Amino acid sequence: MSTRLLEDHGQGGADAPPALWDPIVRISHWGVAAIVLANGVFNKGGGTLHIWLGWIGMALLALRLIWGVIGTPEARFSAFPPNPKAALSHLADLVGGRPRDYASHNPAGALMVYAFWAMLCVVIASGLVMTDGVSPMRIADQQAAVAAGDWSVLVTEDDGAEDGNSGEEAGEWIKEMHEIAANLLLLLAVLHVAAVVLETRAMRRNLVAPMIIGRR
Amino acid sequence: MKLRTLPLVVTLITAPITAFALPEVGAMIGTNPTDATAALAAAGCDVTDFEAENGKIEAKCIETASGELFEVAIDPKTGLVTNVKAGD
Repeated sequence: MSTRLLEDHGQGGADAPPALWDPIVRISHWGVAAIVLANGVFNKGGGTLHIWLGWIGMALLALRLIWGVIGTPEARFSAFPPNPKAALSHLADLVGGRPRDYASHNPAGALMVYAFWAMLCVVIASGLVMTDGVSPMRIADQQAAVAAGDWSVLVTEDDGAEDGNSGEEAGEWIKEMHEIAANLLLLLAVLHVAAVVLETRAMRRNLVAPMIIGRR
Repeated sequence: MKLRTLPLVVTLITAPITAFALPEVGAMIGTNPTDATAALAAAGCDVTDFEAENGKIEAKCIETASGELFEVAIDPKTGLVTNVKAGD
């Protein structure tokens, strides 16, 4: 593989991951990572900031999913199809100290990506249900009104429809689902970081650099 | 201890608990902060803050007997308690 080819295409070759992932992949990767960490660990659930970050995360996920169809070759879903058998084979290669190169995410990494996106969808969908899909701007207005003593802003025309225990139980169930999925996201993130460290050592190649500014 | 005095002793021991029991789900608290603060104070929980959360009012209050923080969810339309849980 010549240096010129690397420069021309920003890739390590047909059977090597990109030397620098494209901007959409990098922005969505780090943006979602920061949001998952912030919303899962640091800020208060249900708060204005939490909901703002959730909506930004939803936009980044949507962008990345669209990019999976129309984006660069290595970013497309077709470049890293979910394949559990291939993932196991890759892990066996890794343990055996002879991991192969792949043009996009390796099969184990691909499974992680799809699991992460699926869990992100659960978190976002349950969050939207919990907030009735109310925009972050309106949530901020409601918070300010309640802080000023006006509770009427939370009363809506269709409030009667969900009154009673069943509505409350459903709400609690959705909240539980949101929290469990968010915790699973954090667990997947920890596994992802551990896998990157292991693979970086096994392949003697920095896997983080291509996700930031590229390999030097 | 004589058996006849036992009910009195039990009553005296449990009186502070029964007099200041936190409101149960379904209890009327009020549809504005003034009424809700008064109702929760009467139940032995001093309100520190009200917040909007998931379409409900969440009253944060400290139980005077235990000093423990509780979160009481209130339906803003009906004024009824929809959930009570120990705070974070």
